[in-house]
Amino acid sequence: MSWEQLAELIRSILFTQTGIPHLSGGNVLMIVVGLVFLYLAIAKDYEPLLLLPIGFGIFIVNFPLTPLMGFTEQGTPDLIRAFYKYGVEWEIIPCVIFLGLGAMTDFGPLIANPKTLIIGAGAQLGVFVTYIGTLFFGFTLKEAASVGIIGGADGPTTIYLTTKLAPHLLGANALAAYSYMAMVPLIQPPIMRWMTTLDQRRIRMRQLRIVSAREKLLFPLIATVLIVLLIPAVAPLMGMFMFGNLMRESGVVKRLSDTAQNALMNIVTIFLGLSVGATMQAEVFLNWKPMLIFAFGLLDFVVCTFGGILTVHIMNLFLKEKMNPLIGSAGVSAVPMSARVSHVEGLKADPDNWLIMHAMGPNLAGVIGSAAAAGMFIAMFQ
Amino acid sequence: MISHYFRLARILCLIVAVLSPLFFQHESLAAIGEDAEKPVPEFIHTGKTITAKLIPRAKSTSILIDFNTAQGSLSDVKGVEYETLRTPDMDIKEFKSSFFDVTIDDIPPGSEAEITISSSFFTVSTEYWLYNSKKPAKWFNSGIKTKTGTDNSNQFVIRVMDGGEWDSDGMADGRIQLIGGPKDYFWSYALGTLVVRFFGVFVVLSMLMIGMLSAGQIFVALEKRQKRLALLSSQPTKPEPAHQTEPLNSPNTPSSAPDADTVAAIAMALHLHLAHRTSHNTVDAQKTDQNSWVQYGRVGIQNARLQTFKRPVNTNDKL
Repeated sequence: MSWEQLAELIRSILFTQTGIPHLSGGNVLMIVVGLVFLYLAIAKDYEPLLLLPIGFGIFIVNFPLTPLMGFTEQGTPDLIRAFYKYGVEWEIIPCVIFLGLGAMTDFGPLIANPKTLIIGAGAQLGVFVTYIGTLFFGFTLKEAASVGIIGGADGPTTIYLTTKLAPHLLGANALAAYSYMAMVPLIQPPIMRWMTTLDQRRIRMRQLRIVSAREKLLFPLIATVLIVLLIPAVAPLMGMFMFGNLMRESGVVKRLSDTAQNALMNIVTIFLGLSVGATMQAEVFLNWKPMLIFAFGLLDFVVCTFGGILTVHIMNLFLKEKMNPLIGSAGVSAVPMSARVSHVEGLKADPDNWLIMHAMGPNLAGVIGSAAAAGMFIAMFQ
Repeated sequence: MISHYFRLARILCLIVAVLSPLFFQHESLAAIGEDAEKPVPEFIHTGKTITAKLIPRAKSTSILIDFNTAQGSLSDVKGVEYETLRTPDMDIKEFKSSFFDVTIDDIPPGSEAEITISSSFFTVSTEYWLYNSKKPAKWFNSGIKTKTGTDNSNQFVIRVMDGGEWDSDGMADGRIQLIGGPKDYFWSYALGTLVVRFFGVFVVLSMLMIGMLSAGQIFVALEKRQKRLALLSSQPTKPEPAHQTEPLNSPNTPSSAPDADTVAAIAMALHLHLAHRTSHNTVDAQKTDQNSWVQYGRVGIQNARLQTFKRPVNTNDKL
């Protein structure tokens, strides 16, 4: 081999088989974005279960020539593309996460006080306000709906709806949803204080009745019948959610319930996070829309919190036993962070006022409400 | 409080700072205006009917639009690119389907043809807009209202004169070219559906609430009944009729029934009192002429005493 041939070989290797010459400014920028989310997850403990895999997904997929999100010449998906294709694109992972969530959820507080379901509906105000807002900025109806659902503060629902309606916005939407969910303790308290007086924050609510095991067992069946009859489009999400809860409450399939809550949930979370992060490649992610999505996501959370508290104020006009309006903010379905925020704010006004169980009702209603809103949007575009 | 706002602002700034360079990616500017939902119709010829199959804007599933004519022959229907006919005053989002170029041949020159365009996707408020490059306002509303067809679809029946102003080729040559498309007002649809769907979420959750309240009431009633039954079964046997006149003979009314310990104490006190008045002998536990209250009390007390004797030997276990 001559020196010329050797030099050509080395040049060929450098230019076609290494990533360095192909590294663009956009790639570097996205790698930095990935590192920031890794920092937020690891150092700040913000939703680490999701932001860590998402951050790493952004980080690794933006190195050039990586066989991660493409297809081979034979049409076989690359590694993370396969996770994405079969997990997210086929809408399996969000539904499996709902299965796990259902298995983890105790609907007792909601069953004991079903009136809080209305708060869960009122807290969807931001979803619809944001939907209109984004339309003004040139988003299509489908994109607007997928951005609007961020305010529902429900990660799997956001991912499910976005995959169906605007898959090109999946990364930005999921990232915005999980980022703001982590920031619920920072976003909500000022709005809660602004919308309530001290006296209102001190309202004590009657202790919830004890819900029997039989009632808890029947709840997933009753809820499935009503929700799936009214919004069939949401059957995959709600069906899995209620199935998970039925496994839990039946008490006869403890192994399955444990698996759904722990092992299965953890496995799909890893694949979901990586897949979502990997959709944020520089060439598809770097535009105005993610920026607008982050801005509207924040507005969404604010209006949803506002809507929940406003709903409690309106309900209090008609109720004999007043509800503490602080539980309204728990209508956004960031379970259980927003319920905890309501509780903490309540304690600040009255150290003996324990709101946590009262706030869990609207919190769970928020999960159902955001899924219902997603179902409405899916039905709208069918 | 200030630190709270500071913390929130700091995190937001961090996110904005990281993502702000995205503003300066010049290729990104295309993303907002790009037509991500452009419908691409496919045409199927079935007899005299040509059917356009397409996924319209703001839909995930395909729709069918049928084109038909009673006069001449429907020789061709084509989809037209939005950008080729777009004028500055029009919003492409209002044309959810596509623009269509319909050609009818074999009609007598200067005569009229009737074109029927039908689809279940059209609503009563859908308008059919037409295009003529020779007119000052190139796009105009045909003013034709939809009718309900035989298959419950809505249809436009458009009468076009060969060489008339709706004939885009402008010539009375035995051929009619009709260019246009169905239009739905975007904002009225977006806002209308918004209100309906937000209200829909309330309806769904209200129904669920009603269902849960009803189920809850049934369960609460059932549990109360079960508790009552359990309480009754734990009560002593009904006293003999001869003693029913005594003041304590109301254990069958749960609301006024004292608890078992109280009953035992009262029974024992009564018994001791009566025994003291009648005899100084020790109390005979097997004596059967006492009433059931007394027996119940004595058995309870004796059982409590027995536990002392049942305690394991050489242990400090408390009972």
